[in-house]
Amino acid sequence: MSYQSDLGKVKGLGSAKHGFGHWWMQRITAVLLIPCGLFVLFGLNGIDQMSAASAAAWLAQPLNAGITLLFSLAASYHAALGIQVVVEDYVHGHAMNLTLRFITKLLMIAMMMTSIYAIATLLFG
Amino acid sequence: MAEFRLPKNSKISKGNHHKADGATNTTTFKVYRWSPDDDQNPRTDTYDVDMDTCGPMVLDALIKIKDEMDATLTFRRSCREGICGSCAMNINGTNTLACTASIKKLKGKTISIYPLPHMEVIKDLVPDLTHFYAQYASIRPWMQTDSVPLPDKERLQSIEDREKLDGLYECILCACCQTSCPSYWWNGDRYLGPAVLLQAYRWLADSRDEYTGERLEDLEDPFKVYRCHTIMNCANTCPKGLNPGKAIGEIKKMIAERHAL
Amino acid sequence: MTQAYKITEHKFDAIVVGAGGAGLRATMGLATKGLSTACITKVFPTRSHTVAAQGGMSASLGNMGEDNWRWHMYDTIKGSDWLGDQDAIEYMCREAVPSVIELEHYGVPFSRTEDGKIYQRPFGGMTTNFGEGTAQRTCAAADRTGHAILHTLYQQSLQYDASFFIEYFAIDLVMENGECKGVLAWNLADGTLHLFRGQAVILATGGYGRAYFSCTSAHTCTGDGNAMVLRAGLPLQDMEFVQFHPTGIYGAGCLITEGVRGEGGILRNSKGERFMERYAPNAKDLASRDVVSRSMTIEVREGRGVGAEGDHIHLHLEHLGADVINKRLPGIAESAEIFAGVDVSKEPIPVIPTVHYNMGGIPTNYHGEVVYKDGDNPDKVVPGLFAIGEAACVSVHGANRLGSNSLLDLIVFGRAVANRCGDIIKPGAKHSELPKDALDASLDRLDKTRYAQGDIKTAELRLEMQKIMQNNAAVFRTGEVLQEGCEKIAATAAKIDNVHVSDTSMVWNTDLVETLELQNLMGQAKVTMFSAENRKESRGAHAREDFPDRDDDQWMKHTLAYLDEGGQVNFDYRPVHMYTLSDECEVIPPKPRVY
Repeated sequence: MSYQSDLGKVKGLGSAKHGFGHWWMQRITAVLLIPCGLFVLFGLNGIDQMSAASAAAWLAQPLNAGITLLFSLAASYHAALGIQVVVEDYVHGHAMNLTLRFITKLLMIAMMMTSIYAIATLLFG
Repeated sequence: MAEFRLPKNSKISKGNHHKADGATNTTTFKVYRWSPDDDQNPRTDTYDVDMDTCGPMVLDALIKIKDEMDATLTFRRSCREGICGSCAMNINGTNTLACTASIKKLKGKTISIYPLPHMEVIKDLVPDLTHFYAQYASIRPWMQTDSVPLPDKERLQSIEDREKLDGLYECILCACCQTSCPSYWWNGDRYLGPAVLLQAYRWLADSRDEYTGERLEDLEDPFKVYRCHTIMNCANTCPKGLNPGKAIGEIKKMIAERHAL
Repeated sequence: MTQAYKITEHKFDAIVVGAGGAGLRATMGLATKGLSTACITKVFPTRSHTVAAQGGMSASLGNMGEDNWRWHMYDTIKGSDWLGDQDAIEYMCREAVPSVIELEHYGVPFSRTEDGKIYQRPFGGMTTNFGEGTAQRTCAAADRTGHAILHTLYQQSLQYDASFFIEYFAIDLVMENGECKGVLAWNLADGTLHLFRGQAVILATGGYGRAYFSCTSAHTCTGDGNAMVLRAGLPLQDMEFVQFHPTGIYGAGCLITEGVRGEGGILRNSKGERFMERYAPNAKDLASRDVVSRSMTIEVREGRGVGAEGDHIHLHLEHLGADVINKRLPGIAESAEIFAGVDVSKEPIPVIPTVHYNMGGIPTNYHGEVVYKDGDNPDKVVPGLFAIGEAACVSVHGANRLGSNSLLDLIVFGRAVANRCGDIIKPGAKHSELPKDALDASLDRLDKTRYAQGDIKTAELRLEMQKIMQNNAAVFRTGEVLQEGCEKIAATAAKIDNVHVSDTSMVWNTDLVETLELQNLMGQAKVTMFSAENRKESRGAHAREDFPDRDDDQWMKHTLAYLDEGGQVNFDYRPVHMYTLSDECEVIPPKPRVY
């Protein structure tokens, strides 16, 4: 029960004055993922038939490494942005919401660092 | 978490059956009933309506039920010509105005009628719209200018600029789109919803208004605008044929432009 | 009484009852005058019936050619068949221009001309140079002008400090010694009763079209304010004048704006004749509404109606072309499609004269103050009580209203009443104590109605009343039919205490609301029928076949009709104001009315 006015409830904490960045980055990463994804897909086509050495050799080429890294960074970021929307949409408990969003960010950073480390190792030996 | 199941006291039970004695050409209306005066759960009452003596629209049937079969049935209605927006309700799963919903076009022998979804119900088909109206007020839906017009002359507006308001100013605030939007169901407390955003865009698109910047600044918020995931239920359901989803897209475009993109 | 009702008291400087065009304009105006203002309305403001007005609002802006408020004044007086008060008409026509400009400044999305000004269209009875040419005087927002204006007014009112009490049903005026002290209202959402005290009570409750079986009015147009005035022992004025709009959709009754004919639409009978050329050689389809409605009725009567039963007329707009229809008449195209199944670019719309507007109502002066006749004083003011809009009879419309003068009336007198209250009310003035029994009669009526267990369903009795009004107080009237109507309506009205109310809840009890509305309608229906029987002449919308001519010697006067507690209708009369407010225009003396 609350005696707060209807308008007061609606206005709440006011506008965050952001939100465009999130929306925009989601689209930028989505667009980026198309060429990068296709490149990686074709480049590593038949990876199950390849020896580990030949896959590593492919990834050790600077152009291949660069685009693959871009792909995995964009994918991690895009996924995190997407999951954040799902959490905001459906998870309404404040603590749970915060926790899930924290975990999402953490996982994103972990995935990004892992990608960078893996590709850097292959590239620089 | 978002609730995907009805709470216990909202589970709908089977209600009473009112028959149309002696009528041969009947259509059955299953209507949601709930009264705040007792502790009963909601129910759906069934009314067999004699189509030979009933008008063509769903509202005609509801009025016939109220007049002849069950005077306790409660719903809002006024203009009966689709311009006041009172009789918005969920008919066979679609939010629309009862007064312009033709019974014939709905087909089938049974028509289900529920209040607008995901709103608190005051009684039967009457939802509580105060939050919706407060959201409408929150976007300052009035002309805001700093320059003072000549007191004895209208502000000028070109025909082309005036045309930008077509498809926006016709909104009748019936809340059909608002309550058809899943994003509004889950986050209606903070998401402004399609109807209110359409109205917000109506003022952004008005060449006479001078507060475009302030309006955009106030709208840019993860919840106020960006809960729209272009599901487009709004445009599908609008009984006036408007497209709130497109208007929201225009708002997003304007915000992008504001960020110099 | 079955129980004691708890009543919450609210104190304001001014109370507006009704939130249509007039009520909202008054509410805004009062709030800007620094008066604490409450607006009580039984529907959310944008659901009020102003929203359905289509064609436009007249004002001599002269955007489409030369125009003059004096010509507008002449047209309005001629349209009123010389029953309009000329001082009030002068006021309205002069104030029209600033009123429209003000609405534009508020943001009404008017259609535009090539040079960016407000678009104006021709309308029935609107002429230039005192009847010579056709005026383009009606300011339009496509064919949704009422919608555009009502929404804009509501939007404006959101930024002022007025308190809205939405979905509150007004039950009765609170009167003491001939002064109005407030209003008793019922909050539908939670079932509580509220006493609103005000130095001024402004009734903006609209017309009572629902007294008839077929009308363009909304279900909520039950003239609640008129009925409250009748119950307070005050008179209603000129109730015999009920306007039939020529073009209601056959069957559904929904309105097709006169703007269709303004844009070039034509009425044709079953022979395909443009019959209005015969009845109004100059104005043709744009003669005033009473003239067109009568001509259509004659065509049908003489066997030239269209349709299987030959009982209606066709309105053609196919020849206008898609561009005009889409730009100027999109709403009409939509309505015709939904309610008549007609594609207006290919087929005509079936139409029939349909009850549309009540020229009669609560007598007021041009400030909106309610007046009555006290001895030799025909303009005695009722302190604290005001009326505006369709509920009022200022009288600017006299015996027949011109199309697009109604939206104008709402705005002009909504403003006028706010200005008047600003002049005469001291903000925050103390309210007098009311006697303990001030609300008893009203509460008793409410309680009795709530638990009414008679034999007749509310809807059944309402239908009986509506049929009588439709049959016995129609476009053409005769003494015989009207006398029969009086007997019938009196008998029907007597059954009102024998109704049955099924729902006894106080929360959103629409069964009770409809029954209270029926009580309201019944009084007005009765007064309308008796006033029509009483007026033995033909004038404007009141066409008597047994008295086919206007009788200025006997009847150039306003009817005042009282309804006493025993249900007896009593008459008195007020003279028509044959004088102007200023010396900037001249009185228009009566002359034969031809279009």
